[in-house]
Amino acid sequence: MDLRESYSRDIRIFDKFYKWGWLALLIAWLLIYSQAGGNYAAYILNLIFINTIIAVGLNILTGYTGLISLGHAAFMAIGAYTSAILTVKLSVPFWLALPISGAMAGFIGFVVGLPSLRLTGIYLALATMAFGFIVDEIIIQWHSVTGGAEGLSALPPTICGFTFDSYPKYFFITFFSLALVLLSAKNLLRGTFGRALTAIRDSETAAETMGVNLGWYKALAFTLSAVYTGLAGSLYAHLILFISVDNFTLLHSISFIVMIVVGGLGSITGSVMGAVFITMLPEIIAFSKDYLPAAIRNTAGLQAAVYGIILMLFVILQPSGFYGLWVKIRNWWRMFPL
Amino acid sequence: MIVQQIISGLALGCVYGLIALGFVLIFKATEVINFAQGEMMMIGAFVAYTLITMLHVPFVLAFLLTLIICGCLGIILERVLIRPLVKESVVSIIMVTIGLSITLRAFAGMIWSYDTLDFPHPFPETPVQIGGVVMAPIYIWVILITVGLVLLLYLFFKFTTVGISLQASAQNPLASLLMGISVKRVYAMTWAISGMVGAVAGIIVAPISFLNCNMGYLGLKAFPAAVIGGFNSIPGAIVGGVIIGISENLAGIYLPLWFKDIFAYVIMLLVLMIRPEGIFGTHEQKKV
Repeated sequence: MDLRESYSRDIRIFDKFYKWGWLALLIAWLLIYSQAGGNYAAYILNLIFINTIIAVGLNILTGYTGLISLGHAAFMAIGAYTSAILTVKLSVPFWLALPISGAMAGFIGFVVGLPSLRLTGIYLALATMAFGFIVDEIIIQWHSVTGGAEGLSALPPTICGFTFDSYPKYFFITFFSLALVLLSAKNLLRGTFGRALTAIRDSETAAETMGVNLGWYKALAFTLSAVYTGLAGSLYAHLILFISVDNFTLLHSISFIVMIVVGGLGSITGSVMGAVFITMLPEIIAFSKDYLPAAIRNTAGLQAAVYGIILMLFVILQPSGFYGLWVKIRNWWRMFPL
Repeated sequence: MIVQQIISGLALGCVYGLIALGFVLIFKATEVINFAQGEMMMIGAFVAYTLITMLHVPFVLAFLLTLIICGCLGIILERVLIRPLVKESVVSIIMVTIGLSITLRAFAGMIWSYDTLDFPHPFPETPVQIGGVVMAPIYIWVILITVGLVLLLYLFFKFTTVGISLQASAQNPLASLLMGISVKRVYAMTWAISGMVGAVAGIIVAPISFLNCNMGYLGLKAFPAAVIGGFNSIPGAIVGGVIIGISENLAGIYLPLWFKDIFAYVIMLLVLMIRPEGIFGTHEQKKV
C-alpha cells in the first residue's frame, strides 16, 4: 500500500506519473473512435463532453462547496441563448461568442450567488429553482430577442474559415473545451481556492474562523460553476443547432444533480464518470429493453423511473458514487489479502 | 368579478396551503424537506379516483380509505428512504426526495396512464349565490375542508398525548427520547400525517384542477407558500398558501397574463431576500 507522503504529491494532477500514459491512450482512442465510429457515436461523444463540463461545474458548487442548485439548466440556457443570439443575429464569430456566453452566465451566476451567503440548504435549493422558472419564463416572453416558445436556430461554428458542420468535426471543439475545463478546474481546486471551498462545505464556522471569506468564496463558486455551465450551453446550442426552453427545464437541472451524485460528489473524476453514465443511460435502457417484461418495456415513464430509482439508490447505498466505489475496490485490491 | 377571483384564489390557496402543510409538518419534526409532497397529493387523488370510479366505493368511505392508504405510504417511505439518512446532510435528503418524486410520477403514469382523467364531482355542481356573488359550491367546500382540517390538526397537537409528543420531539429529540417518547415512531407518525394531508389536498384539488400524473407540479407552487408563511409554522403554511393563491389570481387581472405563472416564485425570492424565515417562522441559530 503506498500512501501520499507529501503535500506536493497530494496536489499533483495525477498522483502517479504513469497515469499520464493512460490518459494519452484514452485520448488516442477518443480521437480514433469519434472520427471512425460513425455520426451517431460522435454525437454521443459530443453530448458526453458537454454534460461532463456541466457536471464539473455543478460539482464545484454542490460537491465541493456544499451549495445545492436546482437551477443549473437556467445557466445553461443563458449560455446557449447568448451564443445563438450573438452568432446568428449579430454575426459575432463563434470563438468570441463561446467565452462571452460563459462570461454572461458567470455574471448572472455571481448575482444569483450573492444572496447565497444568507441562504443555505433547502432555501438555496428553492431560490435556485425559482430562478430557473423565472429564466424560462423570460425566455418565452422576450419574443423579439429569444424567439419565444418557438425556439431559436443556431449555426454550425466556423473558425478560420473551417466550418465544423458535422458531429465528428464538432468533436474537436467539445474535446478541446472539455480539456480546458478539466485542466482549469483541477488546477483551481487543488490550490487555495479548492481548499477554501471544501472548508466551507465541511463547516462554515470553522472555515470563517480560519480566515476564509465566506461570501466571496461562495459567490466565486457560483460564478465559476455558472461559467462552465454557460460554456456547455453554448457548445450545446451549436451542437444541436436548435434550442428552445424545453431543453432547459427543472428536469434537466435534476438530471445534472443525478450525474454528480451517481459519479461522486466532490470529485472531478466522479463528474466525468457520472456524466458518461447518465448520457449513456438512454442507450443502456434502449439496449436492455429486449430483456424487460413486456408490461413495462414500452411505457413512457420507464426512463424517468430508472432515473429516480438510480438517484435514490445511490444516495442511500453508495453516497460517494461510482468514484467512491472505484476507490474502495482499488484500495481493497492493493491491500489484498489484508 | 374581483370577488370571484378572490374566492377562487382563496380555494386554490387552500390547496397550496395543504400541500405546504405537508412540507411544514415533516420539516418541523425532522428538518427534512420532502420534494415529493406534490406527488403524495397526486397519489392520493389517483387512489381516490380508483376507489370511486372503478371499485364504486361511496365517496365518504373512499375518502377515509384513501387517507389510510396514503398514511401507510408515508410510513413506508419514511422507513425505507428517510431513516437510513438520519445523520446525512440536507443535500442528500433533498436528492432522495427528488428521486422519489420522479419515481412516483413515472409509476403513476405507468399505472394510471398519462391522460387527464375526469375526477367524479363529489359535491353538487349548481352554482350558489351568496351576497350577490355567484360561485361554484366546490370552492366553498375546499375552504371548509381546509379550515376543518387545520382545526383538527390544531386540536390534535394541543390536546392529545401523541400530538404533544410530536411537538416535544420536534423541539428536542434527545430530551423527548429521555422522557420515554419513541422518536422513531414520532417520525413515522409525522410522515403518515403528512401523507394524509397530501391525500386530502389531492382529493379536493382534483375536481377543480385536473387529474393527471403531472399534477404533482402543483406541489412546486406550494414551496413559495411554505416559504412565505415560514417553513416551521403550521398556520403560516395555510396563510402563505392563501396569500399565493389570491395574489396569483389578482396578478392575472392587473398584470400581464404570463406573469401569473411566475408571480409566486417572484414573491418567494423577495421573501427569501428580505426575511428568509417567513412571516410566522422563527429564526433558529445553529450550534457549531
